[in-house]
Amino acid sequence: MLTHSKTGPLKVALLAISPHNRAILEFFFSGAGRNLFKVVPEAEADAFILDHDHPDAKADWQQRAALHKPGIILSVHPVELPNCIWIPKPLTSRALTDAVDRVYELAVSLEPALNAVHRPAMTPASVVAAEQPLVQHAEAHFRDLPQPFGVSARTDRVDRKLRSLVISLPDEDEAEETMAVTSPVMQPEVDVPMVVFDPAEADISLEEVDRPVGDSLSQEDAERRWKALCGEQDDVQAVPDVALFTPENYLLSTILEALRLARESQQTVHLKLSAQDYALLMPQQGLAYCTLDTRSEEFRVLCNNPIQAGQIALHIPNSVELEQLEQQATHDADALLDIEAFVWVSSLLTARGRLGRGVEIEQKISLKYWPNLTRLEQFPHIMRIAALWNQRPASSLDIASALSIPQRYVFAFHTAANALNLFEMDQNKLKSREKEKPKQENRGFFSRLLKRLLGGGTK
Amino acid sequence: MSSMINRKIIFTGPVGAGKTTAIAAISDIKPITTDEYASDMTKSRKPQTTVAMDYGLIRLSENERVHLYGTPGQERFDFMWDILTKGGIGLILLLDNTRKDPFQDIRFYTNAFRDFIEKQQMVVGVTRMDLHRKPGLPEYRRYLESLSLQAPVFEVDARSHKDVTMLIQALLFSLDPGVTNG
Repeated sequence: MLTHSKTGPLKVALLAISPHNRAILEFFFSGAGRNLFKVVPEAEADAFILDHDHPDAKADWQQRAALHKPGIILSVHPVELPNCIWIPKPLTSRALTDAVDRVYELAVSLEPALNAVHRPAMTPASVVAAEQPLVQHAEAHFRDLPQPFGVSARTDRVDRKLRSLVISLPDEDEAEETMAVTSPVMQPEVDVPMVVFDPAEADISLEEVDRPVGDSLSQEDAERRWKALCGEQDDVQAVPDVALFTPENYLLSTILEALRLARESQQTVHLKLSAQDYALLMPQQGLAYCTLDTRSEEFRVLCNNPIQAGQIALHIPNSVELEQLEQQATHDADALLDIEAFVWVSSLLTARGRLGRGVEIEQKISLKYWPNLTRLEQFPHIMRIAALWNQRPASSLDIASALSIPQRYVFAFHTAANALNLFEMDQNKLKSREKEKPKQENRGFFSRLLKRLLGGGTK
Repeated sequence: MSSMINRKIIFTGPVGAGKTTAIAAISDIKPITTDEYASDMTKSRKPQTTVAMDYGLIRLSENERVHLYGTPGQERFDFMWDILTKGGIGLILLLDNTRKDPFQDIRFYTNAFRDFIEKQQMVVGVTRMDLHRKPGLPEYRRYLESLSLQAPVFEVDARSHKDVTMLIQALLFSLDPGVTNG
């Protein structure tokens, strides 16, 4: 709960404010800011808050200028108005907190003037006359004001209100004018605060959503796929025992070469996989097209086994060839996938939970960029691995140990994320990437939320 | 009787990026939106109400709730969202890839929520990539890095429960990788 040095909230009226902004302010004042401000009808207010960027701001402020009540002006651009303090947008809770004390100070300094306004002997007309310089100042100020929304200033309403301050002006709307002249400033519009609706604080029973359960693999199929992607190796105790593979012997190295070529040239690269199958890497669209389903047994075998000399080839197609290939891809849109997803799954199927030879197993590295996990094949603990590796530099073995998970999942993540160049390897930059140790105060709550989102837990 | 535990997740982003849809995808209740006046049921309870933000709810138990708030589509300079983040556990920034300059949107929203992001965590979801592939995620990652921001960036379909759930998961794990769903 936010507080300030004075006792009790500052009573404020909200002027010239859109319904949304009004709702937001009232929402804040009814919750975290309830000790700071209380929205009241204007007659009861100690101060007012005015959205200076609102088209009605000019009229509303001019009408209140003679009241000598302190004002809080919210605006994108700096504003200097008598008896007011300016808070720039975007509005922050801190700025509002600070404003309360400043408004109290302002109110004290305005006390004599405020008493003068309320002297019974003073007629509205004389008040207006006394405040003429103030009004002129306001007019000049608003005339020169930039319109932040590209909304032209609304002169109609403003003119009408200004006339209410200058008694001798001719009249177009007799009834309204008469009322205004009778008391242009002593009886301002009554601004009744609206009822604040914060659904979080209301005990409302709303219509429950009946959401269909998403289609997913059976547990058995999922586990089979995870084995294909991450292998089945048991954990090892020592670095020399870590299972390694030689990327150069597999399709993966050619895919990575094709990715590099595609990104550098910004041209589509054709990758021949066999006599009849191929893949296209299309960097402009960030897509890959593969005539083999990446979830098929054929593709798994192709990635799993060392390739023979001359089996795989890559080239940049000429324009005629490219047109034909792209037509084919367009007609077979189901076979299109994110280019990173293609590299990711190829890496996993090749590595099967092993690290590439040449990787410095004990070197600490950090995840520079998260993989696009919504479009990549998943396996157990993938989010936790990404989060922890993003949080602090560590070796694969450290990550597995810290999360108490099988090493093969961390090795699989390492190989695939490395293929996408998502790690920070520069030892000089690692220190700056280290984040504060996470707070564990919400762990239980977060765990229950996760369980709920992933299909467990009660509704 | 134990006290109620309430947490808040904020969804922000430009108009049309999918905030209301994303909230609807994971909310236990039909969301209340700023686009409509109020549901009939709400009206009957509290006449003449104005809703500050889109709203959805996940009920974990009798005493635990996660409130999902979506910032309203206000005029570009006329926003007051920071004051709504009090008590929030994190921010989901949704970007529309069909917009003219999504990077400008990133600048705008991350600036508006800078304090909150630094204290808590942000996750970015890019919508409508099926309609417009550029910019791609590598460009988004590099752009965030240039603003000294570290955040997961995912391609999402705001209608997809799975995609929106992934955003929340990334948020929770980023805040505490030690979380488990066991």
